Amino acid sequence: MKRASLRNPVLLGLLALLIAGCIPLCVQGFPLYLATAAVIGVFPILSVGLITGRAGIITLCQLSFTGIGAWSVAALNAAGYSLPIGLLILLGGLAAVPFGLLLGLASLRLRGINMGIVTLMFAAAAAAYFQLYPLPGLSAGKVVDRGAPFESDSAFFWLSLTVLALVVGVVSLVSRSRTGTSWLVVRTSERGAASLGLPTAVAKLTVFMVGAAVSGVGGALLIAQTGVVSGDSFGILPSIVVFTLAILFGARFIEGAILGALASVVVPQLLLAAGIPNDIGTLIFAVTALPALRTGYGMAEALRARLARRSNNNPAPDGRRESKRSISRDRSRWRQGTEPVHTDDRVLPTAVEATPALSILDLSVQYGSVRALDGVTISVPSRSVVAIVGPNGAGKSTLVDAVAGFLPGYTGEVRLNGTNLDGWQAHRRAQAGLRRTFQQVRATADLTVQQYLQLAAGRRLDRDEVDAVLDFVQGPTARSLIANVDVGSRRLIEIGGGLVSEPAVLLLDEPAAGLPSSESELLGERISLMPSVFKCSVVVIEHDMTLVHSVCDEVTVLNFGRVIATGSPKHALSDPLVVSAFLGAE
Amino acid sequence: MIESTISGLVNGSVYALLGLCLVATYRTSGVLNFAQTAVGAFAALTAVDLIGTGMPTWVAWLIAIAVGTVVSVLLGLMLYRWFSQTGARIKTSATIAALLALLAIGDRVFGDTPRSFVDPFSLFGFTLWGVRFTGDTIIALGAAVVLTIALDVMLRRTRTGHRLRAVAGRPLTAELLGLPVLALTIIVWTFVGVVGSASILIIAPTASSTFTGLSLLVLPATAAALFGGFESLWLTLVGGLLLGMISGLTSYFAVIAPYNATLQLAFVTLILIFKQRGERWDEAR
Repeated sequence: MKRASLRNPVLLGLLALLIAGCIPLCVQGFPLYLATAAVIGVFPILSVGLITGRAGIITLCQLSFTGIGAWSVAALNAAGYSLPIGLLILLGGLAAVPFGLLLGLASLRLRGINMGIVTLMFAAAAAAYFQLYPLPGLSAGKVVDRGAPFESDSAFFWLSLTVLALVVGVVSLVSRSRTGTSWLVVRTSERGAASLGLPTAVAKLTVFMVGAAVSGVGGALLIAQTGVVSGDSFGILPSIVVFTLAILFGARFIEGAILGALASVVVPQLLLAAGIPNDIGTLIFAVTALPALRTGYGMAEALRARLARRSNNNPAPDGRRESKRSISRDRSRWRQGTEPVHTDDRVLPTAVEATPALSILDLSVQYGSVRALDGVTISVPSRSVVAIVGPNGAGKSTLVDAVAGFLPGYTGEVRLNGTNLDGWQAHRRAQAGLRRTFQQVRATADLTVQQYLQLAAGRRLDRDEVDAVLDFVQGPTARSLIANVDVGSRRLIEIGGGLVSEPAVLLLDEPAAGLPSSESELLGERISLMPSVFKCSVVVIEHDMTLVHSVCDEVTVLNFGRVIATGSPKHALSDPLVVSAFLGAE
Repeated sequence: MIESTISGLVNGSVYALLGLCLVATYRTSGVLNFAQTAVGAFAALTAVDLIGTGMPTWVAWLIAIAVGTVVSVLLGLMLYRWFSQTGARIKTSATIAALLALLAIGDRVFGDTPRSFVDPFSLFGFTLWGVRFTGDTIIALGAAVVLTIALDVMLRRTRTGHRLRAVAGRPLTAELLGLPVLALTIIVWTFVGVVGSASILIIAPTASSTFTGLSLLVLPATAAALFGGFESLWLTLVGGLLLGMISGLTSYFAVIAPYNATLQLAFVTLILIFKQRGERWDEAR
């Protein structure tokens, strides 16, 4: 019971809030001022945690957003508006959002070090503005008015704490939403995100806007606390310090941001008390951030990993299924447990389903002077399994990329159930029911299997549905973290994700790569059941000829970007042209 | 006006020199070294403090460059030891942490009192068409051009250059092939240590008088390197010179001068977005 309550993040948060709320009852004066500063310090660190920690985009300008928030509040105050403090804080947050949007727009094309450069230059530009236009009222000594009940330091501390609790609440809700989860997916792989039907542009823009708003709120509180702030507080250096603290403490998680803010307030005071100059504190933060960067584990991440390991040692009683079931049992379950399978269904489509599920017409892709695909035409009948085979470099993966919308520059046509998809972005194709998996697994390590499947499905799944699909693909348990399962299982999870989304067509790019032959055989059986169980068509790109023979209704053979044979596996694969393409004969 | 533009050439040449260091590091170690100019700032402040003790200028400069080089090599060894297997994003974040650490150490060692730097090269020079070319303009410009040629030849023509590029592209493969990765790493970081320190020594009298101010010269240096796409040495040279002359010109017009940083941001963002306009997706792996 006690254990359970300690594991509940909401209860834990409320407990922390209660303890922190007692601070003004115990201390007053300078210690209370410092405590308030620590609460306010959480905001910029948390915003780095969102943008860099969750979405994986380097940002070196979070204090510029804080400055924009503070500046706006100061401007409103200097102009003589006496607005309630709550509204001022909200406006401070909103003022930073357009700037977050601008940087978010830049991040649509810029990645990695380029975003580091642009955000650093943004910080430099903002710092120049704060020099040029000091915070309004600063020179006149016009102090920001907190309004009636919050003039006392205790009341203001409680206000800051309440605002922090609200922001944390909102951020956790957003993080748990589909958009919030997509931030993590974008960090792992943008292609992976789009293949789940998640628009990467929305993910990047929202994370920057939310991050800027969180920082801006911090700025509004800061100026309300101190009354006046010099523009120097929002320079390049403080932004770099906040970035480093966020990495060191793992600000992706809220407790990391809180630890970071506490450290940024407590460490200088401790050093001061010990007679050590303050810059040593910065040096300690910078140097200790290096191991955190190297391992990818900030303090909060390391703490969570340790807790997770401990809880794995005494597993929860409810249903950790044994990781592998006997093959025969599963087979019978899937034969009986679903609607009857009429083999005729697949061979002879009914009149309604006469339109092919996927038709690829005269598709060509040119890379410079190389023609990777040359007039490829393939038709995938409804509820069928079609294989695309060919030697290395035949253009198989290019074909999947083009059909799934990752190569905008193709010519020809792609139709899904008769709808022309040309010009559609990858995530819209995925939403329309054209799903794919990747040769290199892209399932997001930070999610649990269940979270990943829900994200892939795009709707709430109940436990039975999750278990059913995991049973079908022989995947790991729903609660396991994807980071903890092997690559073969991750591939099965990706396939499961494709299936729960109820696709019209599922493209499997080398699903059996790296699987031992027994599992590959099992996967083959599953693939041949997919059309009837999940009412979809499957396109398999494969090297494994046994698999192709056993599961496919039709095979298309590619070589040098052209279709060289098509038909039933037996027929197409015995074509002399095909044999020579594979064996390299003259 | 022409005077201001030409005087921007000193700064422009130094931006180019620092930009070349960044490109050289990036092309051979796969890292954007945000701490490049902080290393040079170490050298510059060492020099000015040594000269303050009465040491002859040239001795002080030599010692200063040696100090900057040692710091640079230590940084390179740290990155080699701990971050050779990580991606560019993590490596670059590590140099940001290193920048912060150097700023803290610099603050501790040198304090934040502004220094007045002696400029040994501004004493000589000549006047052409009514515009004065000082000694440092000639030296900086000459050094930038010579360095560009030397680096270009070294990276493209010599065996060491090829090996260095192999190390940057596939560090593990290069190590498995038996390339002396450690020795090559030390060569690179010694080189950028020497050049980076000397560049900051040249620019210090006109650019800034504090450790932090000198360290932030990494921004124009990065802009120059970006102009060459972190690849082309010649375009980096052109980018640095252009940037220097543009800032020289804008500093002439008092109205625009304060917006220099914004202009830089706009310049860099537009170049980047134009270059990356086709990059709809992250790398395919």
